[in-house]
Amino acid sequence: MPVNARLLFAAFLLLGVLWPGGCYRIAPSRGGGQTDAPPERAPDAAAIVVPEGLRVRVGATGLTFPTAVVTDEQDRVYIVEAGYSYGETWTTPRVLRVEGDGRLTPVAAGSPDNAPWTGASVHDGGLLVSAGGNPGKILHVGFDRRIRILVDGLPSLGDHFTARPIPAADGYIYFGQGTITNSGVVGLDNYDYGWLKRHPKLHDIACRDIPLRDVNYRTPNPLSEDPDDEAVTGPFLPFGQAAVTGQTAAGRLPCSGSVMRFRYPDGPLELVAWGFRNPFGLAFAADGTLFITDNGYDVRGSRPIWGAGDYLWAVDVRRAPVWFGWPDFAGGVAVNSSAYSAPDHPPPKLLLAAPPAAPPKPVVTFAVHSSSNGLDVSPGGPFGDPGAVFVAQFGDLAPAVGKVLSPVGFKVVRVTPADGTIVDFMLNKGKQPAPASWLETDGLERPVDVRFSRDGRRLYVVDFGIVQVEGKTPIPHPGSGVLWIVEAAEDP
Amino acid sequence: MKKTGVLASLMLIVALTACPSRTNTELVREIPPMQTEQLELGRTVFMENCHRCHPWGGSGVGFSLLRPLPESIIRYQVRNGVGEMPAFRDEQISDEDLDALVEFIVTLREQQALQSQGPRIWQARTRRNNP
Repeated sequence: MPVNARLLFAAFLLLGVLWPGGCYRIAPSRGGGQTDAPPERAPDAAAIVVPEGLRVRVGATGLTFPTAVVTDEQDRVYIVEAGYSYGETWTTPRVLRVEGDGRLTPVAAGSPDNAPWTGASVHDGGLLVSAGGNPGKILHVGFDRRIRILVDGLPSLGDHFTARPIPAADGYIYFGQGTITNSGVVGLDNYDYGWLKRHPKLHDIACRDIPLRDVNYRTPNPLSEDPDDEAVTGPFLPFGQAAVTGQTAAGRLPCSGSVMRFRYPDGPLELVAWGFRNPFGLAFAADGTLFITDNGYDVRGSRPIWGAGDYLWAVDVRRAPVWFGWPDFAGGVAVNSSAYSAPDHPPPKLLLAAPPAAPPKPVVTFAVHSSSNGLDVSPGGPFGDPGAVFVAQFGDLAPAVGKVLSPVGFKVVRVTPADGTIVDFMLNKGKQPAPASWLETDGLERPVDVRFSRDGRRLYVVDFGIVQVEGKTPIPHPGSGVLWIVEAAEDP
Repeated sequence: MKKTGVLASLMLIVALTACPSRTNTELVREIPPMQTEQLELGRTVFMENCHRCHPWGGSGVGFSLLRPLPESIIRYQVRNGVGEMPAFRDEQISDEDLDALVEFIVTLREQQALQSQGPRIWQARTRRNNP
């Protein structure tokens, strides 16, 4: 082979090997919601796989934006419907009881302006419910239909909401509170989400006093009638308000990106841990460890952060509140590196003058944009070792949250905290992990919560239903939610 | 000039066809546990550094790693980055860890032969450092 030909061949080979970097720029996003969804959904357990020895069946269908499942002392099953979905779609938040034959009996309903209801636990003759909006609340929804407000005024009007309340053996009720923004700065993404126009003064609230760097972001001002108007916005500040040198974000409770607690029914709020982004799922292990799922950063807004996964954290609630890193760390690593740079963006700037502490590392890091949400701790039995953590992965909302090259999430995974082992537990049959509407089957769409039955023989999996994504806009399908039941194959 | 144009077109075609498939992540029923300490280490390194963008070696935010790349190219890409993928310095992934990672990725690729319908049970291990 002549020298020139050999050089040419080598060049081709090198190009072929290295080209994927270039491919990323030109490749379209192929998220799980970027598909033509069927007009109706006909759930079929045969489209889903679980480990041998277990089987899947349909528990209930026709749910609208379900977000949580719980069981009472008699092992009766209750579903929480959120009353809201990303995509600015409001319905009525409510609690439904699932009868043995799959019929749904309404137990209680809230007001649409109090949506979304995102999580629940059974406690004291009813359900503790996290209510997301206007502002965030922790409710007690009695089985007698009476609704009491236990905690009010939570900062839950932005991107992320108040999350699952759980009673603990120490007498406290623990719950999560998501952040207002993606990464600390109110921006145009929040206008796209819809809430900036409704709440132009909204911003993240620190849990402790934190000195800030004078980092600001200039954007067009969609709140102005002048099309040429611009806004300059700093961290932990309202849209259009710049940070100045030496500024400190004043800490107070309730605060953004935290886990808080109170003594039932009306004790004062206490901070448990902070520096989360969206601590959606909380569950205690038998040894008292609090496990938390946390949705990582998106590639959006004034301070996009690329390549950050979702996390499972372990919190010792007996310790003084630990800071877990938001808005300057992802999984224990500072975000001001090229590893977290969005395409065509410089590395994100740090916002805090100094981190409050070195943040811990997560138990495990889930896939970027997997939206790892509801979780429960295995009692053992047919579901393997006791103490394993089962996590529902809602799946990506690409391209609204960032580009993915294949669907990410859309399954239930099992984590063994003792050694950091992850196992895919429940997912659709098919060429690759993806929602049923993407695979054109009748299996899982978007698992959002999991709970074991009291006897540990069944795992209830809440499937939010179909959510398409067109551009930056999620398009949820009311009535497409499903309750799946996983149980031992030999059970009657 | 004409020769250069043909050459450029040819290179463009090769480059475009080199874009890896985005849908080659088959599910496998069962993958045997890692047989050696080296593979166990490789799995740990993979889960800590690679899994979040390449879930189980498939594509997510990043492209699938399950392409038939020579080991030397894998090493080069890890150390130097490619496209949006960052470079991993030896403080992040030591040479010893990189050896294990490469072996793990090659094993991951070879075990695609076990493709069938069913849940994957890759044992994903990470080093814990919790409060």
